Amino acid sequence: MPSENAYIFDAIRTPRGRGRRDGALHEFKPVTILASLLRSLQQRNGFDTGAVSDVVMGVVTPLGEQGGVIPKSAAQLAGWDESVCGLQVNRFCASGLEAINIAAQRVMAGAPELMVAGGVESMSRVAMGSDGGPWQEDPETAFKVGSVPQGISADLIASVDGYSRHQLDEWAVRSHERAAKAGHDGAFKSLIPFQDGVGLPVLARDELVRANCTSQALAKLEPSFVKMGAAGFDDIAVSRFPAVRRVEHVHTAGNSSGIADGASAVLIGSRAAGEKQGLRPRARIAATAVVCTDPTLMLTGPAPATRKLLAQAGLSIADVDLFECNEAFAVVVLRYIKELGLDEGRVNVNGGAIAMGHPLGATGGVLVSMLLDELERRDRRRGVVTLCAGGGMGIATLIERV
Amino acid sequence: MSSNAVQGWQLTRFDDGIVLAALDLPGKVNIMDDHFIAAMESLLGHLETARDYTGVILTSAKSVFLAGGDLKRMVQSRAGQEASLYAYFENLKSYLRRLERLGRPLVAAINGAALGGGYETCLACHHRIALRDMRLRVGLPEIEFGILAGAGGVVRLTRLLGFEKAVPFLTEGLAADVSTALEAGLIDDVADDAEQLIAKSRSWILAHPQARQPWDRLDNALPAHKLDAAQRRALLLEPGKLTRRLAGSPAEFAAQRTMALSAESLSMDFDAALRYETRVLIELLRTDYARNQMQAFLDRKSSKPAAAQKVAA
Ligand SMILES: CC(C)(COP(=O)(O)OP(=O)(O)OC[C@H]1O[C@@H](n2cnc3c(N)ncnc32)[C@H](O)[C@@H]1OP(=O)(O)O)[C@@H](O)C(=O)NCCC(=O)NCCS
Repeated sequence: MPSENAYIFDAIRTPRGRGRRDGALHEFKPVTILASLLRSLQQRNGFDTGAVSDVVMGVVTPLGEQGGVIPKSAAQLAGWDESVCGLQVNRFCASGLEAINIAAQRVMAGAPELMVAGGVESMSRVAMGSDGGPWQEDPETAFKVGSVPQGISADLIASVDGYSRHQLDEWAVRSHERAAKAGHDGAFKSLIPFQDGVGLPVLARDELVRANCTSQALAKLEPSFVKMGAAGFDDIAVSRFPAVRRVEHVHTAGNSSGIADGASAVLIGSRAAGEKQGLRPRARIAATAVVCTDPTLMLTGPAPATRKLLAQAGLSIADVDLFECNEAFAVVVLRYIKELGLDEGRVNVNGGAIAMGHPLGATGGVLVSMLLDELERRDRRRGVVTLCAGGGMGIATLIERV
Repeated sequence: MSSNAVQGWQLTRFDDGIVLAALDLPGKVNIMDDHFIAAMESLLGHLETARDYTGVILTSAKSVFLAGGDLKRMVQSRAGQEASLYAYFENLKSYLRRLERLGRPLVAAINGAALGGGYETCLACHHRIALRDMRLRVGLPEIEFGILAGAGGVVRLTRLLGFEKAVPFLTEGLAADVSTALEAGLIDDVADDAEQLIAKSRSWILAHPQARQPWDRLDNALPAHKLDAAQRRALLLEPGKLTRRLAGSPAEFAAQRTMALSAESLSMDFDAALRYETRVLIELLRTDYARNQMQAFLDRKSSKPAAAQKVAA
C-alpha cells in the first residue's frame, strides 16, 4: 500500500471532433485545444495555478505544432503561473493513462503536489504515424521484429480467436447506441463544450456518434486492411501464427476506433495539496500497471494488465463495478470480455472509441473522466480503465471513489 | 460579341465563349457592401446555371477595380454580435469561394486600384493581370484599420506566396505598385493598355481550360510539420521581427493576430482556414483600436470626399 493516496479532484475532456479536415475541431491547433481545457479546469475548480507543479500529457504524434513539450506551452498559453512544469509522455495509445499514472505515482511517492494529467491529439492536423519510428521506417527493425500495422493485428486476433465480422459489428452498434443514449441522458458531465476565441460555440458533443447506426449498414462497409495485408503484412502475421492459415479481414471503418481530435485533463494530487486549494477528492487512483504481450497480436494487453493491476490491489474481478476498455478495434473489447469472463453490461457502458473516436494521446484521460462520471451516476465504487498499445503493451488503472 | 444585364455588372460575351464581367455597383466606387453581395448573388446565379461559357474575366466598369470591405458596417461591430458577424462574413466569403470553383478559368483584369476586399476578390481568381498604370495599387491595407483581410485574403495570400513572403503584405499593409506586385507575385502579369488587358486575359483563359486554385487540388492542406527548413526558420524568426517593428504600437495586437493566423492557416484544410480567419477577424473587430481607426477613416472621408477617394484608390 502506498504511504500517500493519489486523489482525483476533477476529470474533464473536450468533445471528440471528427479527426479529418471537415471535423469541427480541425480549425484549432492542439495547443489551443489543450490550453482551453486547462482554463476550464481552473475555472471549474478555482485553484491557484501556482499550486500545480506539473502538467503531464500524453501525445502520440508529438510533431510540428503538436511537438516540443506541448503541455508546457499549453500551460503558458492558458496563462498559468510560470512555476508550472510540463511533461510530454508517449506510450502510443496508452499515453494519456500513462500520464495520469505518472502523476499518481509521484503523489504516492510522497510529493505533496497538485498535478494535471491527460493528453491531447489533433489527428486531423498531425496524422497518425507521421512521426515514423523504427517499425515504420527502419528495414532492419522490420525484418527482425516482424511488426505489422495495428489494423492487421486486429484482424489477426479475430482470425486467431474466431470472431466473425457480425460479432464485431454487433459490438460497434452497441457502442453507438450506448454513446448516443449517454449523450442524450446527460451522462457526460465532464464533457466541456468547445468554444472559439471569441466565445462562439464550436462543438458541444462527440461528433462521430451515429444514433441510428445499424448492423445492416455496418455489414455493407468494406474491410479496411485488405490492401495493407496483401502488401505482405498478412504473410508476416501468418508466419507468426501458422495455425490461422489466413488473416480474415473483418475490421472496417465501422468497427474500428474513429480518427478524432480532442483533449483530456485530470486534476490529481495529495489530500493536503487539495485541501489547501479547497478541493474535494472525487476518487483515488488505487493502482496502476503496464504489461507487454505478443507484438504481432499487439492489441492483447488489456486483460493481462487488468489481472496484474487487480493482483497488486488484492482484488478480484468481482470487486470492480465498471470497466472502460479502449475500443481501438471491436475485437479488443470482445477478447477482453472473454478473457476475463466479464459481464458485457459492465464494460464500456456509455460507448467507446468506435462510436466517439480515439484521439490517441487524449484517450486515457477521456476514459478516466467517463468512468468517474458513471461511477458517480450509479453510485458505485470501483472502476478499471485499460488500453492496448503499440508493441503489445497494455496499461490499466484502478479508480476508487472516496 | 453580345451584352446582357445582370444586376451590378456590365456583361459582355465574346465569340469564343468568354464572359467579361465588369463590376458596376451603384455609387462612385465599387465597395464590398450589400450591393456587392447582391451583384455576386446575381452573377453566380447566372454563371452556375449557364453552361455555355469558357471562362470569365472579372474587371471593373469604374476607375477603381474594387475598394475594400464595408467599413460602415464593420465599424458598428460590438461585443455580443459575434454570431451575426460570423454569419455575415461567412456569407460574404462564400461568394468568392463559389467564384473560384465555377469550374471555368477566371482571370482578374485589374484596371484600377484593388485594395483590401478588392484584392481579396482578385485572389479568388485563377490569374491576375494588372494594367500598367503608375497610380494603380494592389494590396491588403486592413492592418491600418487594426483588422485583417478577412475575406480570404490572409489565407489565400499565405497559400499563394508562402508564410515568409506573405507576411510583409499582411502585417505592414503595403499597397504595391504594379511592378512591385509583379515581382512579389501578387499579380501574374501586366498589360500596357485596356485592350491588351482583355486580350491577355482571353488568351490565358483559352490556354488554361482546366484552371484550378492550388488549394483546390486534392491535397490542399499543407501540414506545418511538413514545412521545409527555410519555412520553419521563418516561423521562428518572423514573430521577433514583428515585435521589434511594432512593440508598443497600438497596431501590434492586430499584426500579431494576423501573423499567427497566416502561420496557422498552413496547418489546416483550406475551408477550415477560411472559417478560422473569420473568427480572428471578429476578435480584432471587437477591439477599440479597430473601431477608432475605422471611424477616423470614415470621418476623414465624409469631411473631405475628394481626398478620401484618393485614399481608397
Ligand atoms: C479503420 C480506418 C482505417 C477507417 O478509416 P476511413 O476509411 O478513412 O474511415 P471513414 O471515417 O472515412 O469511414 C469510411 C466510410 O465508412 C462509413 N462509416 C463509418 N462508420 C460507420 C457506421 N457506424 N455506420 C455506417 N457507416 C459508417 C463512413 O461514413 C465512410 O463512408 P463514406 O466513405 O461513404 O463517407 C480508421 O478509422 C482507422 O485507422 N482506425 C483505427 C485507428 C487506430 O489505429 N488507432 C490506434 C489504435 S491501436
